Amino acid sequence: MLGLSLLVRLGRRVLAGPVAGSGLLPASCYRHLALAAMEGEDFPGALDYLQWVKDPLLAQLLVLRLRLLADRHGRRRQVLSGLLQEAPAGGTREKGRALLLAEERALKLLRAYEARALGLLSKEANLAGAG
Amino acid sequence: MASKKFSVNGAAVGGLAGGVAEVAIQEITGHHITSGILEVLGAAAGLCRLDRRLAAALQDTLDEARGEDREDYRQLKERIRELTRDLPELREILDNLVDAGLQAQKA
Repeated sequence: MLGLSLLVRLGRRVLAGPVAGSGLLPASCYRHLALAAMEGEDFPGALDYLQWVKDPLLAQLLVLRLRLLADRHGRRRQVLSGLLQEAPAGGTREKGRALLLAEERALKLLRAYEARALGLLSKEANLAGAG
Repeated sequence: MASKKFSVNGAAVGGLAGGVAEVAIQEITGHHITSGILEVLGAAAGLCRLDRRLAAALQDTLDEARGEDREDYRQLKERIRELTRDLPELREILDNLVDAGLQAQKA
């Protein structure tokens, strides 16, 4: 049984790379991969797998996770902006500005992912409407 | 602890008996019974794990929404509703989960 389990795991690992991207695996496998990617906060990976899942609930879950994360970064950005206005010129101000830029980049990225996930959702809704 | 004894002969006889039974069933019914059973078991096991994983992902998301300051369930419900305005299926599920949390808090 142990040998069989190892074999299955090895097979999964070998297949995960080249075959997973082709959309040839069953939808349940992509659901599993998308959930694993979401757990690891690998949002581009989750988006890639979600296109083969065709499960609106998973895409909605990803959108919510992205919004929650964006909300957290938004609050951090707000706090940093407030601190920067009060901070005296010098090294601290420069560090604060660098952090603010990083937060803005993160927010931009998260919004781009959210737009992609919403695009998947509307595509699925259109397909369901047509079918 | 009782010691385990492994028998190579027993395993060989068991395997042979299984093979004979498989061939006999295949001859009579025309179906590969073992691969069918394995497929059904595999799919069932996979689905169980998936559902558990999805449930865990939903719970994680709720915890994330609740934040570090452990928002009250009513505030959490408002926040979830606000963030899932355009996500109807998810809103319904999370609403039910938060309601369950509210009931548990009251009890």
